[in-house]
Amino acid sequence: MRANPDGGKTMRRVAFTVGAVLISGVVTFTQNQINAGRAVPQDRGVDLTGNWNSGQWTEGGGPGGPNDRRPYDFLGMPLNEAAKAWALSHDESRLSEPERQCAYYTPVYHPFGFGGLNMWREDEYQTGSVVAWVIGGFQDFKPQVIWMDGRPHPGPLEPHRIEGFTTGVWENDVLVTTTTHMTQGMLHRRGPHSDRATLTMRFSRHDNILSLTGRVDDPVYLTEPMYVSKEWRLGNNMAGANRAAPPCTVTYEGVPTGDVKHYLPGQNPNVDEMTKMWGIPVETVMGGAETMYPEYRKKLKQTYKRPEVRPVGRTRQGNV
Amino acid sequence: MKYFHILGSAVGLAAILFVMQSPVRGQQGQPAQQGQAAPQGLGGGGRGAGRGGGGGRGNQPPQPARASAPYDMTGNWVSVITNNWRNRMVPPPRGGNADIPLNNNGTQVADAWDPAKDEAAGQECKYYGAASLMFQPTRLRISWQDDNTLRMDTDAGTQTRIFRFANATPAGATTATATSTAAAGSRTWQGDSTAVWESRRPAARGGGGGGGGAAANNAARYLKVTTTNMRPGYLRKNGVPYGERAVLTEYYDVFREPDGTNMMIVTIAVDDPEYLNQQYVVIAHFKKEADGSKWDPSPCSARW
Amino acid sequence: MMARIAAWTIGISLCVMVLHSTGRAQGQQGGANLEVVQVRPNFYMIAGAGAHIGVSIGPDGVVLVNTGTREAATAVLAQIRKLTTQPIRYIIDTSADADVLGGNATLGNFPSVVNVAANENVQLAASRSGSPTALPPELWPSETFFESRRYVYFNDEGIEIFHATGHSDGDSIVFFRRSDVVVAGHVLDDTRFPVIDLARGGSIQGEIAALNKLIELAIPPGPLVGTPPVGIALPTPPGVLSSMPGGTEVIPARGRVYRQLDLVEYRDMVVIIRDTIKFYMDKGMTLDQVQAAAPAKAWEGRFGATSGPWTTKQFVEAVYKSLMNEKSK
Repeated sequence: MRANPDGGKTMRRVAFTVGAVLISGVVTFTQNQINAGRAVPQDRGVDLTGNWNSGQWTEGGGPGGPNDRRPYDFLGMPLNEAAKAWALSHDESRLSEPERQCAYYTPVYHPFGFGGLNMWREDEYQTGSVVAWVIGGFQDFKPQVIWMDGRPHPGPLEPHRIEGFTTGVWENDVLVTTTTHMTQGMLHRRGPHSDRATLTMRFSRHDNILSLTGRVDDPVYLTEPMYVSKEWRLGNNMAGANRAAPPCTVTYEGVPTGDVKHYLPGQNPNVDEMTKMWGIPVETVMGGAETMYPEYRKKLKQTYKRPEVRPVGRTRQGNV
Repeated sequence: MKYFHILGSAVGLAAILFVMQSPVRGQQGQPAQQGQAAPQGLGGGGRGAGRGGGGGRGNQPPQPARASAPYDMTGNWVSVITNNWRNRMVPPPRGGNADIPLNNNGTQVADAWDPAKDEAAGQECKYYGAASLMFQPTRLRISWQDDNTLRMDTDAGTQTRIFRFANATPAGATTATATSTAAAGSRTWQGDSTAVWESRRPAARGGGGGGGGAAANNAARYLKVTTTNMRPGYLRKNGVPYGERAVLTEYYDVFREPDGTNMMIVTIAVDDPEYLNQQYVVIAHFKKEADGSKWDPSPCSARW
Repeated sequence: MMARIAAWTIGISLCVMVLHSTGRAQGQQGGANLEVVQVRPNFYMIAGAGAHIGVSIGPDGVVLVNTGTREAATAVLAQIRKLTTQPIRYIIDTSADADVLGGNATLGNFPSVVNVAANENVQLAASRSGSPTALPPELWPSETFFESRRYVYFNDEGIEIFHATGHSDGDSIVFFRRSDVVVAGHVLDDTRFPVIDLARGGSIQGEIAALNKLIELAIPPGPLVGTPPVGIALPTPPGVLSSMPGGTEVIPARGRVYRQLDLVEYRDMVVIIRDTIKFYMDKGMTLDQVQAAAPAKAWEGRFGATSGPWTTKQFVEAVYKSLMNEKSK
């Protein structure tokens, strides 16, 4: 074995080289960790902050209002046969079950239904990056958090909530959100949507009008996506802006706990109400995808009987 | 020289490490807008997508509207009626004015509606005027008549609307001016429509209004159309009126869903000092169709 | 030369190791296709080993509700070991199904295990020689009870075991009072209509009563139902379904974790189907006629099946026959 000819210099060089490599690795690793904690400033998109008011022009006028849907009214909903069967058995009194009184509406109804829309943004206080947009609650609607920080949706085994779980991204200045993990709920306050439904919303601001459109996909109850929409106008007055729904307390509304109100086959008294009031045939009132498209009017022309004047019917607020 | 190789190996290794970890840093630092995408619609990404759709803000000649379109809205579209169904798919009865902010004058006119009079006067197309046409069940055919004029045909009532872009719009231009100076005889059911590619953000600013640092980009524009000079018509097919002073403002959003469905959302806002006590706004959904095979023209009708 | 090569090699290897450790993702997958859901800081659900297993961990040790299938028991044990080094102290079986107590022999086979508890009908069914319900002795519970309510105290909380007779005559519903978690067993199944095992004493009335019991035990959030979450912009603390807090968590035999409103929907569905079948029976319809009328149609897309171990037809038949049994009493 040959002795070291250079008196140990090679070993020193090896030692220095290894040391330099290790130092480089440590420095780079540390920088990586520092960068991970520092969020890149985001484009915050378009300002949606404010108290938005609706003129109730599309549907409603509020529950019981003049343009409200009757209890058996599924016009323009792409319901499948299972949903129609559900609708035939559904009794609105079920909402008075003590177990259901605080079961607020899912996002499929509000913010497309009755009430105000108060939106604000939550920023991470150190970096200023947007964590979430929030839709404030209302009488029977829970606040909805739209997570903007890229967090994943919960897994398939995790529990659902009434308001679901929502994430959002900006697509060309339109806020596009995806909501999953909702509980079973109602379409237009009448038809069913299952807990497998997904809601995609688009918040598109034009001047001071917010066009809010939504698409509901439900493999359990819909044959194709259902589109909902609501137009909002920016209000000047924040006094009525809601952040939270008022507390909900259960009272006795005539339905005892465990009493499941429903209609047996052939006994739903509301099936022909739309026909009597508005001249619209029963098979149309039951909904279905074909009722959404212009060509369905050819069928209707033979079966629709327009009332001479608007019917005077009973709603919670009086006349139709 | 002695330690040159030490320095060289350290520098070289640092370079390797930087390159290797670049994907990791990119994921951590990525802004939340994962959805920020190419221009919407039908893959018309070549048409003026990205910045400077109109050139250098007055220094260059403005691009034609067609070239600066942020999306492609040409083709065949069908309305999807899921809301306000019984006021749209079928003609509602007289007095069914719910949810339209009519003033007293408007209510009186609506309550006195008689379709026979419209038929006798040859005014069956009153319900097919611009202010209500897009809210009807209808199919659309949209095409470029020329580089600055968009044409829209409807099979309901066989109507044609012409959207003229105010001029070849430079990037950052906003509201088109609307004038209402035409003589009464020149009014039409569809009026005069002026179009512009509008931005949702103040142009030429670094952000502001919550914009957080990014200037307007062409892909984020939408079509805004202002229509005046309309003949008096009906907002509903039961005589709910709008007058000749009505101004129609429409906003067109076009996008593609993840499943490939192309959608167009039209926000329709009507201002009418004669019959409405506030602005009336509704939203209509349209879905793109592969072809025009379901095109089914029907004449104007006062009763159906 | 060789020294330089060695130095470069060592250096690169070290750096690759460092990078790998920063990029590694932390998953929640157990072995053998198990999935673990952290329901509370001290409570987990293990899915994928048969019926869901509830795992309560605390200073006294581990309390298990159900042990899954025999085949998955080793993997379940390995998963528990990832969660804690505490010994298994107590096991509760919610019924006599092989996918519920199949792991008793493995998971109950430790000196630390005080007892494997179940309703006495579980042992009766398991020990019935020659019967299709018979199970090997090593799977039998070591502690049985017949009262409607049993209780033990582990890990600083009371644990109530309620007897139910929906799926079978030996069902138990287990309620962890401080954790506010209920393990329901086969009385509740998010993936299908409830399995009503008539041969083992199950009944539709018992099933509805069991679901009502679950609803009674589960408390939903409220009255402050509609308050925005506090600290939206703050970092989310790790684990425990933190993105969606609120209300009693109910672990079914299969499927996702339920809360009270989900139970109400499930109960309402079962009641309506029961009432509809009874309505047809009162009209004199035969089973075939009732099947043809599709009384469960409204929920078939969600809970029904046309093939597999429990179909819609089987469910309708079970309800029909259960109602017939009621009539003949």
